[in-house]
Amino acid sequence: MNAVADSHRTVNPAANGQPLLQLRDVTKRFGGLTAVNKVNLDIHQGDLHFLIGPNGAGKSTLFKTIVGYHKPDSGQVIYKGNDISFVEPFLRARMGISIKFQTPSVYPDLTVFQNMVVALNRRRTAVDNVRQEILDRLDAVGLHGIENMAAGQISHGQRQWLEIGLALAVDPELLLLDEPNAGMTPDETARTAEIIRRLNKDGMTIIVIAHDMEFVRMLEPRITVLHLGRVFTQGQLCEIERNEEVQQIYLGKK
Amino acid sequence: MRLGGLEELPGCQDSSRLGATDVQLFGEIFGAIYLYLDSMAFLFLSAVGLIIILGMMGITNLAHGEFMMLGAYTAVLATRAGLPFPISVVFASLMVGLFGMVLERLIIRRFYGNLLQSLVATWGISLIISQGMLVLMGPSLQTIRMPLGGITVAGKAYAAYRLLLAVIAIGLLIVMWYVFHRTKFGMRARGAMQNAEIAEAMGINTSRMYQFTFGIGSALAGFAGALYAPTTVLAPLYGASFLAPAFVTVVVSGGANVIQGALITSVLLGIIEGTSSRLYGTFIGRMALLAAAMVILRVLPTGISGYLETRGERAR
Amino acid sequence: MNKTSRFSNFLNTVNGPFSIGRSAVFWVAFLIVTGYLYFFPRFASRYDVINLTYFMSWTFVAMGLSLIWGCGNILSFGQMAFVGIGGYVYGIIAINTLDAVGNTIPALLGGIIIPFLVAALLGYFVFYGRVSGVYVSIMTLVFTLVLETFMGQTAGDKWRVGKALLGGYNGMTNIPSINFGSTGLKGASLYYFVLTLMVVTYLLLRYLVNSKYGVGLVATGSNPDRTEVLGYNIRLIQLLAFAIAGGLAGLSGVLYVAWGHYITPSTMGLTNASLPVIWVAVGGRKSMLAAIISTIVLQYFTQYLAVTGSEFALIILGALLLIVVLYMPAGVIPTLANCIGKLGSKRRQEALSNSQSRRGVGA
Repeated sequence: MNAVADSHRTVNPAANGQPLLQLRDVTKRFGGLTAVNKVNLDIHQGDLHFLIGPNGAGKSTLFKTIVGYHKPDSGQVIYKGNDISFVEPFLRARMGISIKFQTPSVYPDLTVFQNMVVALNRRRTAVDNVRQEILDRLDAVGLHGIENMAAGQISHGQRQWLEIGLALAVDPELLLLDEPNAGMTPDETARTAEIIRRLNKDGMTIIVIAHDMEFVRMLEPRITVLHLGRVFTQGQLCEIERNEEVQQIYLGKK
Repeated sequence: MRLGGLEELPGCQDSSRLGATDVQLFGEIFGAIYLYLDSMAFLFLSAVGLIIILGMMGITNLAHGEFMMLGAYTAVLATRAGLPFPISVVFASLMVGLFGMVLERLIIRRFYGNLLQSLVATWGISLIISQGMLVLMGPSLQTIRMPLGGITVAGKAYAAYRLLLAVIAIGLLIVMWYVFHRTKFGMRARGAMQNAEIAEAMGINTSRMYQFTFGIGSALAGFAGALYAPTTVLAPLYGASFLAPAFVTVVVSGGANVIQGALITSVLLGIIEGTSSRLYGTFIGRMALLAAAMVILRVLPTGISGYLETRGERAR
Repeated sequence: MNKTSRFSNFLNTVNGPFSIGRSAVFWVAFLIVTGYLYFFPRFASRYDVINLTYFMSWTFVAMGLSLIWGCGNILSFGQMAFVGIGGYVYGIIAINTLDAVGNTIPALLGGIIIPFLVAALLGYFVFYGRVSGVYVSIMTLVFTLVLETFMGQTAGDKWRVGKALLGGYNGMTNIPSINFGSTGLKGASLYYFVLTLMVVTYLLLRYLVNSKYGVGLVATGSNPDRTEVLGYNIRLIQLLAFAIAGGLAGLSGVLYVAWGHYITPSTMGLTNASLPVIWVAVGGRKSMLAAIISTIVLQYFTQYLAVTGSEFALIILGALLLIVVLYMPAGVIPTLANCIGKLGSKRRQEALSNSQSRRGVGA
């Protein structure tokens, strides 16, 4: 995919070994409940990282804090060396952070094609054949031939992929996927894993929230386990799988 | 619609008598309390029906003013026909409540998923009712005299009826609190408020509950309309003068916590409105209300009750 | 660039993925109707011309509402507030400056710019305050009601701006016609002015909706959260649309007072506030053309009812609104167009299968 010139993008930090994203003691409270508790996390460019943990562990809240819907009560969100803890979501998007929400969030009354038009609309540079590019991008996320259907009419799995397509259309440097395989059949899950693998191989930095260990196993990423808002443990897939305490906090879930 | 009927008794305007300062001070304080109670009662009574419907169903009833008008007209006509005024008020409330339930069943319930469309629908209903009343009953209806007459405090006359309204407002608040927090119905209602699906799964008939709630909200609107009927001119657009204060109160209160929100908002806005109208006149009071609402919403976008809810124990 | 490609470039700016009605048939019909309207004063009575001018003056507030509601999903019940502000501002400036300046251009500009700015300010509080959905609509309604109350209290001599008396509930009178330096516009000249403004505004708005901004507005209306994380500044987008709608409403106000020479606070009252919503909802909020047609037709209908002595005009409008929202939520014109389209394709299918069976093709 062509990199898009955007005035908010800054210099590539990988040149000096800095992590792309750093979470420093990030804490977020809602009334009496601490949803995210002193989370520390480093994501380097090109990483494929999974966030797992039981329900209520704070994974989605953490994503929302990275994207900007929540501002941390304490701690910092540092992106490319800049503290973006209080930057508005739309500015973070322009800096290269893109998210796919847990419940598929597309434009239901617009066609699939029009959905992509919206995502590509903000570009500065003109492209010769937008129509072909949109069809190529849809192909890349596994959507063929449905570009004239209303996005509200396509299947749940297709909507997930469309949203990934939208998130990719802004050519992000950091892609956040919140349960990208939620509600998908095993076949669709495998296809989603393939899409993620390919994206990561091409250099995209991706953080994925997942519930389903089968899905995690398809990709063999580095994993952070969250529990009750805290980082419980981190490590490679094989280490996490062997960790009995992790199994316990899942209470017998796979 | 004038708030705060502070009237001066002719000939008793000299406050320079020796030894009168204590009495004068008491009079000032009483006057101020009267004004604030009047404002708060007005806001609370106008808005409470709306807040209940909003809190329970997420629906904003733009026909609220018309429901108040129906309550006022019914009460006045019933009183003219011979019923004692208090009975007429209750009767009017029941009638409007029933009307609301019918309306809910026929029209309102089709818009539960779509809040903006429900606004437009209730707007259409409000137009039909108010213009229909204009055709049916003409441009105005002669109202009845304010009951209870006046009382005199420190040389100034006050309408005892308005103090009664304040007492009624407080009483209503207490009754509501009791029903919501101490009865089975109230607990079921609160359950349905928090999460309709779970409530339904637990055997609560949510559609019956919604119909009943809309009925109660309408009845309260009719109640307020009937109560304020003796205080002003009756016309088909009678409800219009309540609309802006009621909506401002509802928006600032938010829907998350009906009782606390309504109470705190009425007190807060009542103080603001009362002070501004005391100092500068009624319409400045209205403007102050609107300005205050803007500012409060800017700071607390989910309203006062929304703010209270997130400050309490809430998992996200 | 030769003529055809320049024309198609123009077409591309007003035809886009988000416009309704962009076929060649549409534009031909558009040209025909516009031509008819331009010839109208030649054969119509003076009364009809004046009437149609009045009806067309209200299309601007309807177009503005169609922009914010149809595209941006912002339902404002308060557009008449900006109509009122536009009318009063025009009156104030015109009464005070006509003699000095010799024309009403400052008044005309003021009557559009001031409502635009007021709408921007209101929009700031509403959108940057993260007020959402239903509450936006309520706040706009409250705004117009409070404004009406305020203007109603402006009776008496101390309520004046320069030479212009605000007039309380009786309103401001003796407002001069629009004047570009010679005589005031009235009758046919005012008609042409309003018609031209209407056509130009319509085309400009189509251009806006199909521009990058327009796509952002439609996206924001459809799914603000998704749009925000695609990098759009959704609050600014909404604010701008709201301000533009306010300016357009102000234009309606200006044309209204230039036509009738007076304005009262009741313009901003409860009953009038419902009118733009009814016009746009009944016509079809997503189509600006439907909003224009609906405004003119419903205004004509209301006037016809009033003239024939019926008091039921507003009741019927209220009922119409209710019926449309219940059974034709997209609006009358798009629903009709859909039906005609489906009928058309059914007939084409029938004709096709008829000719197939005649030729012995198919089972």
